[in-house]
Amino acid sequence: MAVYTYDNLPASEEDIDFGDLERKFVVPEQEETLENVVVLDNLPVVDTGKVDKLIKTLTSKVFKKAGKVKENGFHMPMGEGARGSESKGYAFVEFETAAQAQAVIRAANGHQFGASHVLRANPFMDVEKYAEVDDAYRAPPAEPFEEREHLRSWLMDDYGRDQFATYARGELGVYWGETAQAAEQIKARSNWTESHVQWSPLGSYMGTFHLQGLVLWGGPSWSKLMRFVHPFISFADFSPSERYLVTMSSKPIDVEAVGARLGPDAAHQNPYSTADQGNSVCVWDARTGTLLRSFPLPTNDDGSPAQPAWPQFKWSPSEKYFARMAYGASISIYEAPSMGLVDKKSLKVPGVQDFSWCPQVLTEARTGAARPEMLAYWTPEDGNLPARVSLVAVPSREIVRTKNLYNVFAAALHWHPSGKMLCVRVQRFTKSKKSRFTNLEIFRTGEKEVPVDVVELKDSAMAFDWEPTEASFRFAILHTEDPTPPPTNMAGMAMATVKTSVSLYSFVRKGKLVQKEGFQLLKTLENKTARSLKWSPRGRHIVLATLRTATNGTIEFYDADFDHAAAAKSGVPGDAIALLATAEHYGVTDMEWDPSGRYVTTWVSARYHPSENGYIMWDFRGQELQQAAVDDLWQFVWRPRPESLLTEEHRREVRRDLKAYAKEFDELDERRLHAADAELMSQRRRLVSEWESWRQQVGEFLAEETDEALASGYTLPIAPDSEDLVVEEIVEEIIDEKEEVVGK
Amino acid sequence: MRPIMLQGHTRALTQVKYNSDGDLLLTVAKDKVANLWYAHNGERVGTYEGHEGALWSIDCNKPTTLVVTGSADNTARLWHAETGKQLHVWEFPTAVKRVEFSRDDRHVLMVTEERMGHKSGIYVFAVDSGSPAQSNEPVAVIRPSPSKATVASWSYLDRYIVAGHEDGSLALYDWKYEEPAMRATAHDAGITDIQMWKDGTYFITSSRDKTARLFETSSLNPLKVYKADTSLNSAALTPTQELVILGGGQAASEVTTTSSRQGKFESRFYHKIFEDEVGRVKGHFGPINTIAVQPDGKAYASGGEDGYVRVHHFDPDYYKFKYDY
Repeated sequence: MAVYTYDNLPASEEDIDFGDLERKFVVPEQEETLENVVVLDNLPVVDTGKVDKLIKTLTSKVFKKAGKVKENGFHMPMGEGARGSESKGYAFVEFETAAQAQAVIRAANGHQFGASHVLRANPFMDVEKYAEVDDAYRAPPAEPFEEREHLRSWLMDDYGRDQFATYARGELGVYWGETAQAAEQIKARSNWTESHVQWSPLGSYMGTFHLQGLVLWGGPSWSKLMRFVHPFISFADFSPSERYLVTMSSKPIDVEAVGARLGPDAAHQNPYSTADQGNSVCVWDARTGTLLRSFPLPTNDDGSPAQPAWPQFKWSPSEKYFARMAYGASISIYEAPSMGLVDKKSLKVPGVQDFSWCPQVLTEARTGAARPEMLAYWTPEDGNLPARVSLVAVPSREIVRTKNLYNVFAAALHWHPSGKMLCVRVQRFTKSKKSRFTNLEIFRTGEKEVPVDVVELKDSAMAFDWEPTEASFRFAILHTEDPTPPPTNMAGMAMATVKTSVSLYSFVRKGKLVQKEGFQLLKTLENKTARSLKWSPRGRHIVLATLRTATNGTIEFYDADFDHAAAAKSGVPGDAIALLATAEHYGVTDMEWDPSGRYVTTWVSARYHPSENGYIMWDFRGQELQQAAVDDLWQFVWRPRPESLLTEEHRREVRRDLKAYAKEFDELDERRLHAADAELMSQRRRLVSEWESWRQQVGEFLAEETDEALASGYTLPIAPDSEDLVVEEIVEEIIDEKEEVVGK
Repeated sequence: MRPIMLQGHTRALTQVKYNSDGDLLLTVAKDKVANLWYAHNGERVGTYEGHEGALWSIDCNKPTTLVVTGSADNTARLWHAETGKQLHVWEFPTAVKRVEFSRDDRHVLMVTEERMGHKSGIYVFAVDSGSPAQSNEPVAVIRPSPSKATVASWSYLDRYIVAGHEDGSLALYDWKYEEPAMRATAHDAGITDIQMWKDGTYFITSSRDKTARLFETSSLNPLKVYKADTSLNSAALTPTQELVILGGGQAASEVTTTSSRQGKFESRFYHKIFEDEVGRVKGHFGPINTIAVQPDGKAYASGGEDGYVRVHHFDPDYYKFKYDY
């Protein structure tokens, strides 16, 4: 500004140059942000007359509550078409806020609009973003190849041992299971996990849970393989072949908070974008660590959050589909890896209580072609409608089989691991509705038309387990006359035992001797106290355990194929079943077979029982192998094994040459034992010699000190006699006294 | 090994102790009476009566002419061992939890409880076995801090007093100067017992942290750890075999809700050098509060919360027991 003095004032106001002030106090023009604008694509092409109708349909059917369109916010460019003025199939829609725009994108993108239009919605800002992309292609720098560790190295153990993990007192440890000696520690760290530990279904990864998310470990070095950022994670679950990972957190994702926690340097590690804001369930690619999609927690019809169940998603055996149930309403089936909802809509199943995938992809018996995957669900009685179990093929949604049931109180779906049998355990009321009993409706899903066998029990079933092998589709069921659970203490231990029985059934095919095809009772083991039963992963052996009962810890080992000769002789197939051993493990809370079916561990978890924590390892015959006390033991988990690669032929060969192999293994065991002994002995010798040399040193020190003390007037206490004093006492006792007069 | 049951107490035992010849056994319990027994057959010799509260501790001098007891009636008393006559009463502001004659019998240490504003203390009094009158003036008073002392014992040549504290720490007190010479953290929870090896050069401690540990007296260096699965109340060293005996069990308040199987009321034997558990002796139906081994190593006595003292004379097998190495 020119300097004005009183003398050279300008003549009028116009002459004054306010440029500097204007520059200084300029109000920046309100920048019009376009974040609230959405580009809608794939709209039907309409003529001028129908524009309003289209807009109305879009706002009421697609946007709904997600966002409110600004006044005059709907811009649909029109152009000259075959029938005069026509829309171009796209529109720009301005919403009140950017958040609303986001919500609309989520709701409208992929929306099936009419029969032939799938809407696409994108933020308008993306236009700018993609406009800036350089036209010339620049190849991204090739990342150097990093060899990954062998994730299944543990299977190549020289001694064929299995691994397990224990979590106790904040310390997570991985061990080799041993038979003759204490378990060998592979690695242990305190605070390795913050809540618990979980293996992946084939054992490749060990997952540890942290406030920040999930970390996967594995390989021979037990290094960190992958990290999944998901704050406040509470659960994680793998797909059957470990390709995908689902995580759930107790708190919705806050993208900014995750970014802030990671810090600006690690911003690229933040897997979330604004689209993930507020979601709680994430699906990841387990191998690359990429977030594939996040989902909000399920809501009830009225929009209130539903009780989140776990697992949120159940995977089909091929990993092509994963599904989640909205309790009582529908099953949403998604496709992997695209993460899209199959057919863009959920399977409406009013009243659905539970569903479950057939665990294997079944094949046609004749052609060997894969059959479509299947899931089963059940719905309860509703008014005049009976309860119903249905099998649905996916993705065709074709009903494969349904069965109506009456007087149903509850039902549970138990698939045989082969997928060829589905047992629906139906808890039913008697007609008087006073007591309950159990029916087993067994669907032979492996067969054409899916025949259903019914097994009726008088009692109420508590537990059910299929023998994992397919030879005779045996199953065991634990039942009781009195289904009221016993009182439990604060920790969840039952204070009294319940009288239970265990029945074993087998499937018999029609044959020369068998008139009726179906399930046949083999044997009922009565007067048990067991609360849990488990078949060996290899079948044949079954363990009954009285778990979580304060007064009893009985464990019984049965062999279902002990003596077929006796069974053949008596004609009662159940006679082949024999009790191998009965053992007692005080306070036992959990029981687990090792994945090879050779050992059983029973353990006392600090979750239910405050003392005696630790585990006992048994062989399948019920012989105790070893016992370990682990203070505050929380978890004991065997590392799962992938399925064996041996063909049936190989297995037969192994069985034939079993004697030769057995000899080899016995020798190996012997050698190991000796090596361990030798090591122990040398260790002990070292300890003894250390102790003795220390004692000698102390002896010299004491002698010196004693001399010094005596010099300064200390009197030594009287040393007790070094030799035992033998006091000989001669006691004479008069036994008899007689006075005789011997002649005169 | 058929134990002799000594049924002379009506309440929980607090300490059992052999005299140095090993022919007599002294026991005290929470029932105000101290008992003296023949160690070989469990016949009662007599009682020391006069205390008005639970007794916590007892000891006798080497020739077994004097007996000293510490009690919850805030007194420690000196008795004529043979006649049971009370010779002297020392009075304190709080209960006396531990008493022990020095190795040369000229002093006695007394550990007092911390209560009602009175700090815990380790008092040392001179004892004159020749005269009936005893001094009420302590030779030394040690004030352990920050945590109270629970147990104490005389070191080799009475050079130091080793004390165990409520916070699990150990201290070596230069008692003549009333100050600590050395401190060490030893356990994660309160120390419940200290027993010296016969020459006082090393000792064993037991603790509520479920471990017993061996320490070198002169340096407080940890030597060995014996891990048990229950809170421990007492630990003793066996003079002939290389073993230690530990006793404990669940706290008395929880006992009623558990079976004796669950309470872990067994005496446990560990190998002193290898730290391995080698055996257990069952019998008590309450936690074991105190264990003492006969100085010739041929027997041991355990006193339990159940009010019984069990004297076990070892079987011939025991002497044959040898660890392979």
